[in-house]
Amino acid sequence: MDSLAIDIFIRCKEGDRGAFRAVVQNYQRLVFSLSIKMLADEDEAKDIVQETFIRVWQSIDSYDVRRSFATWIYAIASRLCLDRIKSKKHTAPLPQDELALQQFASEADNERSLENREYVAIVQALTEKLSPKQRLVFTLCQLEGLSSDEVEQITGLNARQVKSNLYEARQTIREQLKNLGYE
Amino acid sequence: MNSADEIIERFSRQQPTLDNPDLLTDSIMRNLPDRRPRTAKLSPLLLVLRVASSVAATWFIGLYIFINMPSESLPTQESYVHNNARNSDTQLCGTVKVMFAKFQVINSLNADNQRAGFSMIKFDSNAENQFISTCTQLNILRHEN
Repeated sequence: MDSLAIDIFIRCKEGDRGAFRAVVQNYQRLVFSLSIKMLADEDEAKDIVQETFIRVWQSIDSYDVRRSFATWIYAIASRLCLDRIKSKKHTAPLPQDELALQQFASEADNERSLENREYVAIVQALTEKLSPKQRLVFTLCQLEGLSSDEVEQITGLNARQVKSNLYEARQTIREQLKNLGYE
Repeated sequence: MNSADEIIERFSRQQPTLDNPDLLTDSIMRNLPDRRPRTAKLSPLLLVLRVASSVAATWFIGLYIFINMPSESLPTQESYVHNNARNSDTQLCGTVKVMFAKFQVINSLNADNQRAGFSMIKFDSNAENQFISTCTQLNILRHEN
């Protein structure tokens, strides 16, 4: 972490809201990205972004500036997402979710960016059969592109648990795609 | 047709977009609570000292109450003094017997004026009789009160 970032976090610890605003602007996309992938709901993802930054603000004193802030904030957001998943009722994917997935899988244009509505539908269709832990590990490793070490720090799982959860998640998703005709 | 792994890989390269990030930032900043000052952690030594001093204080208060509690066995002690003074060993001189009796009575009575009354006793050879009569008198006065 560079000295400017350290200075910003020190100011945040001192209660400087201006400095904290800079932190929010810098990291809200990261938290939103994780939340929408975990919850497959844009509004709930924005709620989690709010909750995460409130938690960060309240507990910034416990943040060690020598550690990665991204890892720390990922850990807070992950816990909030898991709590949200456990508290809400399981929703089966809608027919249009599977349709969105089929459309994406069959598309010739690989470079087209998905709209959030499409993105959420595909995530829902792909991950609906995963356990919360598998979903978290799959999201962090596969969709967020984090290293195994980072995922271990964020989730508190050991290397073997991360590996097995990722393997199980991939197998389940492959099975899901196989049922839709993609092998 | 794409294989399952290809679809997963292709989807991994997609990212959701955050519309109106400034709006979300403003909303977060508006909802930030006031920071609560951190409460300093108490050291274990301080905690032990707190507990020890509480126990000691309770013990001393209990002792104070016990010492100052009116003794229900006072008449018995007074009669003991009376008998003790009368039937004491003849080898003891009168002064010692009076001092002993006085010690017993002062221990059993806690009213300052009664103590002051005993200080008037003279330690001469006739003190025994004087003391016995004073004790008897006090005993009567006490029962009257």
